[in-house]
Amino acid sequence: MIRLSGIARTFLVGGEEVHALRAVDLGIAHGEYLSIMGPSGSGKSTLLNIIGLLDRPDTGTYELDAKNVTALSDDELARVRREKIGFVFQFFHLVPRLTAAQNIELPMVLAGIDPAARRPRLARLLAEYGLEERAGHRPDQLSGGQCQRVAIARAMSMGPTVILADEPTGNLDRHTGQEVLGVLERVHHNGGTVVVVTHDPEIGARSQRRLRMLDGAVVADEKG
Amino acid sequence: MRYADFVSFTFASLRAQRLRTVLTALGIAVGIAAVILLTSIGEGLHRFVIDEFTQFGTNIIAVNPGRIQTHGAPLGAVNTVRPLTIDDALALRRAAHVQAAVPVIQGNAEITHAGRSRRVTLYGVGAEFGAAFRMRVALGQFLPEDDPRTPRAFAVLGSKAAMELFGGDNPLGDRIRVGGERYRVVGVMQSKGQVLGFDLDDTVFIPVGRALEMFNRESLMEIDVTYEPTAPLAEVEEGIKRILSARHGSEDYTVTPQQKMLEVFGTVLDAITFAVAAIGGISLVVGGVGILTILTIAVAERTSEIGLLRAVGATRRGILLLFLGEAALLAVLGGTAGLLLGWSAALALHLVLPALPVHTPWSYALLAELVALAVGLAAGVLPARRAAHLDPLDALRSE
Repeated sequence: MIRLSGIARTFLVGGEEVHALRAVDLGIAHGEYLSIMGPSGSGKSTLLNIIGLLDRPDTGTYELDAKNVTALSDDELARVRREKIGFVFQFFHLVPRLTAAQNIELPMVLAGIDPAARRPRLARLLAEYGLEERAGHRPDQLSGGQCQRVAIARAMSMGPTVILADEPTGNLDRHTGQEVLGVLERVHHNGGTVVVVTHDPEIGARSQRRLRMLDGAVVADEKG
Repeated sequence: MRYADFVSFTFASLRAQRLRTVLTALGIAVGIAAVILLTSIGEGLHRFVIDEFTQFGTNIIAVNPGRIQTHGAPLGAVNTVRPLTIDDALALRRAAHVQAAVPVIQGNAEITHAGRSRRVTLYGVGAEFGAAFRMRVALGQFLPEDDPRTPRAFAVLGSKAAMELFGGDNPLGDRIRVGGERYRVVGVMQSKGQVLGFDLDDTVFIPVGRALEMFNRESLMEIDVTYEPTAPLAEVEEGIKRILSARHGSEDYTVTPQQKMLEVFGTVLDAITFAVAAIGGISLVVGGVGILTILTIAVAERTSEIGLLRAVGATRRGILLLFLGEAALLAVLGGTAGLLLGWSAALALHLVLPALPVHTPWSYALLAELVALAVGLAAGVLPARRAAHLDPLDALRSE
């Protein structure tokens, strides 16, 4: 489903070239639960951003759902992100003036989906992520765990091919983090593909497949 | 993005910053109000001046003796200006479409009655003067249709002159002295008030033949020709010129249709209205700068939100439109408020100072609204472009 071959990405930092990714090859199958671990600067976030089409590789090709997405235009990338990628961020990234329900709905609104078609999907998402009673609350009236659940529901709203979570528990206490992880795992159990970037080995250990990165290269790929 | 969603998203953004929104829209509102108030006064002035001139009717052509020309041309070519005479006026009555040709001479004279005397404006006119200039008689009648060369010594008084000389008494049939000659009062005019500073009530009207003798003049000052309102002006002008040129041997007179004068006035007054609208437009531009400032700040504050919108599938164009939409909405809100503000200010002004002519030209109001929208959009372009060109990844990280 996701096929990266020879992906390299170089940044210029203070006039010096930093190789964030060096010729990474990676395949992710449908329904996989994958964690990417490694110290900061190992390239794990860059890899996730490239998978999420927020960043472009300097070399290499990226196939998503058997389609080469390496050379798409900016607008086409936006459309693919909208339809196939669900992002979950460390800092939630909810729009502060919108309610929980409006935040969840946002990708559908941007996609121009009819309100009549949005309503049942929204109701289902609110129920699925236990947010029915918080639907009318704004982010500042929600707890961290609730915020992240809203973010996951938003990521799921367009029925994406893959959920990409960048340190989803990094801004939560341990207990809430476990709970949010449980929500992501439920997405996986229901057949979704989940990629989690984390530096926490305990969280990484919960996934079926564990990628370890160092200096822009995948150094370990364990399953089971 | 659906249109309704677009509007409600934009509204939500503005509602989230209520004070800011109100203050920014106020900038535009003040601009619009200024445009509307100033053009209302300009347009009121326009109407006032035009009304002053048209109260005598618009289908009048003035014929004056002499011609504006360059002197000092070849020696020997003697330019003679023949006087405009009462006979000329009589001849002009035969021109096509002409209803009346009124000879006019104007001067000052002292009128006395029973020991009281007053210096007033004297008009020596033909009998049709009152009808031609839509001036009505309050008492008695206007000057009768005598033979213009040997008219009887009748006088008609302006309302103020009559009041000053006779007090409340009825002057009809009484004798007065005008410039030392004896006249019998046959009528009193209705009050006409002041027209551009001339008091039309402090007057006395006598037959033009007598006035010429009194002032010892050969020539009339003017012949005022009225014509059928539906007649083509050029044809009427042509007819007048043909008759007068035949009588004088050359075109030694000047023909001025009032419609042409009105056109000139109209052009000047339109220019004034436009100028004051432009002055109001300056404050509109200042309001636009307010929108520019606020939107620039908003883009900076909402960078991470822009990153998120891009991540969940908004295109650059989508982001551009969202911020342009906010700018346009601010301008339209301000514009609507300004319209109400300006209009009520114009109404209030009219109530407080009834003498000041105020009239709101709706074409300008509509134009001002469109300008406000254009200013809003123009002010929104820069910040909206900045927002659209943010790199989604950098924007997301900006927190």
